[in-house]
Order: sequence, then structure tokens, then C-alpha cells
Amino acid sequence: MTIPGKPDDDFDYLFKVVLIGDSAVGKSQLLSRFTRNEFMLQSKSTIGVEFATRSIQVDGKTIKAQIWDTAGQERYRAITSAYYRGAVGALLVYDITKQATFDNVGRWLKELRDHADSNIVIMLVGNKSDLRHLRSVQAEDAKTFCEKETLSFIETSALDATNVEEAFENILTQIYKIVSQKTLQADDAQAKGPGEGQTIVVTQPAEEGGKKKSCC
Amino acid sequence: MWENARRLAAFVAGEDAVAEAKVRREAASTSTSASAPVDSLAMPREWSERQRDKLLEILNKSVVDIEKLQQISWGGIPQDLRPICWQLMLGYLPRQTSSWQDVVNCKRKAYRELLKTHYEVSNSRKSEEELGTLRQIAIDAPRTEPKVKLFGKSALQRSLIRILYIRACTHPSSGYVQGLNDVLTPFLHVFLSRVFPGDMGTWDVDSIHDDKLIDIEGDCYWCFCKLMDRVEDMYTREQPGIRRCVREMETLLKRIDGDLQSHMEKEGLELLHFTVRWFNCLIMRELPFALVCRLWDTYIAEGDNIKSFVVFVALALLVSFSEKLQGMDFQGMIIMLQKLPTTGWTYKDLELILSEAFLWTQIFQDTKP
Ligand SMILES: Nc1nc2c(ncn2[C@@H]2O[C@H](COP(=O)(O)OP(=O)(O)OP(=O)(O)O)[C@@H](O)[C@H]2O)c(=O)[nH]1
Ligand SMILES: [Mg+2]
Repeated sequence: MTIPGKPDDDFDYLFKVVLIGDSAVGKSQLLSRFTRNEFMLQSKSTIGVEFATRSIQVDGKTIKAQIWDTAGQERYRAITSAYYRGAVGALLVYDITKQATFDNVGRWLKELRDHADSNIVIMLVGNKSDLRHLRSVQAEDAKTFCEKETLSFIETSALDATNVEEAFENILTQIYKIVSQKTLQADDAQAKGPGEGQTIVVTQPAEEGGKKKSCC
Repeated sequence: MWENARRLAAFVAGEDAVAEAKVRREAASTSTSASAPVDSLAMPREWSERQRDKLLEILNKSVVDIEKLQQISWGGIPQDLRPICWQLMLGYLPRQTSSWQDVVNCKRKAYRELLKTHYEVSNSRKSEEELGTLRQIAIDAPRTEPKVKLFGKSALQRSLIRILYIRACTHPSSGYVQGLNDVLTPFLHVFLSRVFPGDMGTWDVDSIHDDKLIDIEGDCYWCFCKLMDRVEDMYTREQPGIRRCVREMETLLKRIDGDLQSHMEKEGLELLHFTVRWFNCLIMRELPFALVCRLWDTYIAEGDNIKSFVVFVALALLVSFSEKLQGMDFQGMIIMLQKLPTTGWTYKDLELILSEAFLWTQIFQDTKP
């Protein structure tokens, strides 16, 4: 499995992350807040996928996130699910003011199970936390759900930027930990098969000598 | 003959009794007085006048020769003749000029019936699927061409929702697909221009009489449906039409620009990464809105061929950035391709793309991939 992108970019790890969830929950705005620190009240709907990147530092390592923002309408899933391939993380977004977008989370999880790598790291994101007065999904309910499904959870606002950095940083750090641990284990012994705890297969180890790079 | 000219004039002006001479004069004056700087987004004046003369000659017959009309319209239609030319080429207006008024009255009435049957019923009488469609449309309407203020006005928001919803109800196999809200906008813009003179920024659509608005909405609805019929498989389940376009484009790109194709392949960039949106919105999202109606002239003139023509437009667009792209890596390419630097494009830039596309249709017409 290869991820497009030149290996001579300045990063230690390259992680592909997808943004999924119902239409208009704010996926594109979360992405533009994270990658460009911009927010637009009126943006166009996403057709197909849109791509952006940003690098962050974790443990002194440069982690480059390659983020694919997908279209929310169910009609597009046949086309968008093709982009899940190779993703090591997914931000599954709902809108805290729209119960239906939370009710659909189960369907999105299934979508990931059917089309993404089985050990993909998933984070549930309740967006539009600035709209307190319109809240219809309680954070407690989302937390309970996440405990049951072993997902992490965060509430964000793309509009006022609350927790947007944190959401991306959290998931990237989680992935980093799993990957670096896995690399250690792999260095140690290759005896153990998958299935014990959550492991991520480093699918494309450093190609060139010198710098150590992991590409998942 | 004079009767025809009168009828035409009335149609063009969107009013009942305007003499042809007046239309000619007015049209001429709007293009000449086009205040201060030359509008690089508009059709050059000389060309516009030549097109107008040719088109009026075709339109001033008692039976319009559609093939001829398509031939001329392909090269661009002056703004004031756009509504009538589009309506004829889409088969909304019949070729017999004498029955125009009857047909239009009839169609507008039928649209009102559709509104009653599908839209003006309480939600409890709509199916779960219909409600889902309505929800999606309501989410997308405010996100329609946000840069063009016209579409954000509440009257037009309602029109967008009604037209899209009724088309989805009457065409369940394709239904509503995100992006169709964009595809509808040129119709609203062009048909409203029959009622409002001048720059669309000044149109006070919220003050328009409801009846009049529904008339225009009806025209938009039928013409939108006719265009959609020609590309329906782009929007049916799994969107096979889009996949076909991408496949055709892949094959043709190898032949047209092998260097770019192999560079893309080397970098791991697939056409599917960025052309889904291109085809889904008939490439209108990649251009400034002011140029989209000109693109629509050609699309509509292509008739059923639009399905393959749009692939050539996509190719011409892609290849126009070939040199730049070949100096970029995966990331650079995809970021540019999903937000093409066409904001400053002029009428001429689009003409170049269209002529290139035309050239290739001629070269490759017998070698359908
Ligand atoms: N108040 C508030 N509005 C938001 C927030 N995030 C997004 N929005 C608004 O919600 C609407 C939809 O946002 P998008 O980012 O386009 O939604 P999306 O999930 O990408 O939708 P699709 O592309 O259709 O799948 C826009 O009008 C945004 O301005 C937020 O945090 N707070
Ligand atoms: Mg989006």
C-alpha cells in the first residue's frame, strides 16, 4: 500500500486521516480551521473529496497529516469510500445541534468497518459547540456511546476554534503512539500476530536509508 | 413575418408587446454603454453583434431550424437572447413560433400542479425518503454559489428548494445529488434576466410578484430537467456516468498529454481524486460564475453530446495547466487541481478551452474509448 507524496518532504511520519459524517456537520470547516485557520459561514458543499495537509510536532517528531475531507451525502458513499483505503485515522463528525447526525454515527462506523483498515483509529467529534442554546445531543450520551465502542471523543467548534487543534492533535498522537510502539515491537520480535490490543501495521517503512520514515 | 418578429421580441423581453426594433436597439445600447471598463468576462462586442444577427435570422422564421441554432449558439449567445435560445435548444419551446405562448402557458400551469402535488403537501404526507431529500436540499440551498449574492436572497432560496425538490420527486432514479443546486443556478440567473435589466447585483428579486416568480421558476424547472435528462446517468445510484467520464478521460489523457499522464502516475495522483466534482457539477465549480453561462451555451448546443463533450472540456482544462503540474508533486498538484487558479479568467480563456475541446472531439470522434 502506498500513499502518494514525495518521501523527501520534511517529516518523520505521514498519516492519512479521513473526515467523515453527515452533510453540513462542519467537516470542511474543521479542516480549513485546522489547516488554514479559516472559517466561512457559507461554504459550498463538498463533492467527492477534498485534500489538505498540516504538520504538527509530537515527541520532537514531525508528523504530517494528510487529511481527506469527504462528501456527506449518502449518495456519494460508493465513490468516497474508495478514499478510506490506507487511512490510519478517521474523525467521525456530527453536529451537536442535530440529533439525526448523531443517530447516523453507527452507520458511519459500519461504513468504516466495511471499507477501511480494521485497526483504523477513530475519534468521534461533536462539532458546533458554540451553538450551546441549540444543543440537542448531550455530551454525556456521546461519551457513553464512545465507551461502548471504544472510540475517543471530543466536542469542537470550527467557528470559534475551540478544541479543533486538540481534536487533530489527539488523534495524530494516538496514531503516533501505536505506530512507534509497533515499530519497537517489530524491532523486538516479529513473532506475535495481530489481534492483541490495538496495533497498526506500518505498511510502508523508510524507503531511503538515513532518515527514518513511516508511512501508513 | 412581422408577427414572428413581434412574438420573438415579446419573448426576449419577457413582456407582451415590445417591438423587435426596440429589442435590437436596447440590446445594442446595453452592450455599448457597458459603462467604464471593458468587461473581460463578457462576450466581446463585435462578436456579440455578429452572433446576434445570425441568431435573429434563425429565430425570425416561423419554424426555427434547431440544428442551425445549435451551430451558432455553440459559439456563445448574447445575454438577451440566451433565454429563448436555451429554451429552444432544450426543447422546452417548440420549433413552431406560433405555439410558443400556448406551450409556455401550459408548462407553467403544469409546474404549478407539480408544486401542489409534491411540495405543498404537509410533511406527514411525504415519505421518509422525500423528507430526507428535502432536508438535504435545505442544507445545500444556503451553500449555493455563496459569492453570488442573488442566490442567497430568500425568494431565490425558496425557488432553489422547490425546483430541486420537485425534480427529485419526479425523477426518483437520480433524485437529488449534492451539486445539482449549483447546476441549476445558470437557469435561474438567465431566466430572471428577462425580468430584471442590468447587473444582477442590483436585481431586487425579493420584491418580485409571487406569480411572476413561479412562472420563471417553472421555466427553470423544465429546462433544468431537460438538461439533466441528457446527463442523467451521472446522478443515478453509484453515478455510473461519472465513472464513465473518468475512464474516458484517462484513456484520452494518455494520447493527448502522455507526459502529464505519466507524471501523475508517478506521483500517485488519480483523476478520480479531483474530477468527481468536475463532472458532478459539469465543471462549473472550476470557473468564475460570470463565465458559466457562456459554458452553458455550448453545453446546451451540444445536445445529447454533452455527455462526451464535458470530458473534452475537462481534458482541455487539465492540460492547460500541464506545464505547471509537471513541476509539482502529488500534494502540490492536488491542491491546485481542487482549487484551480481560474478566478481571474476572462471570456477569452474559456473560449480557448472550448476550442481546444472542440478540436479534440474532431480528432477523436471515431475512436471512442
Ligand atoms: N455555528 C457553527 N457553524 C458551523 C461550524 N462548523 C461549520 N458550521 C457551518 O455549518 C455549515 C456546514 O459546514 P460544512 O463544513 O460545509 O459541512 P460539511 O460537513 O463539510 O458538509 P458536506 O460537505 O455537505 O458534507 C456551514 O454553513 C458552516 O458555516 C461550527 O463549529 N459552528
Ligand atoms: Mg464539506
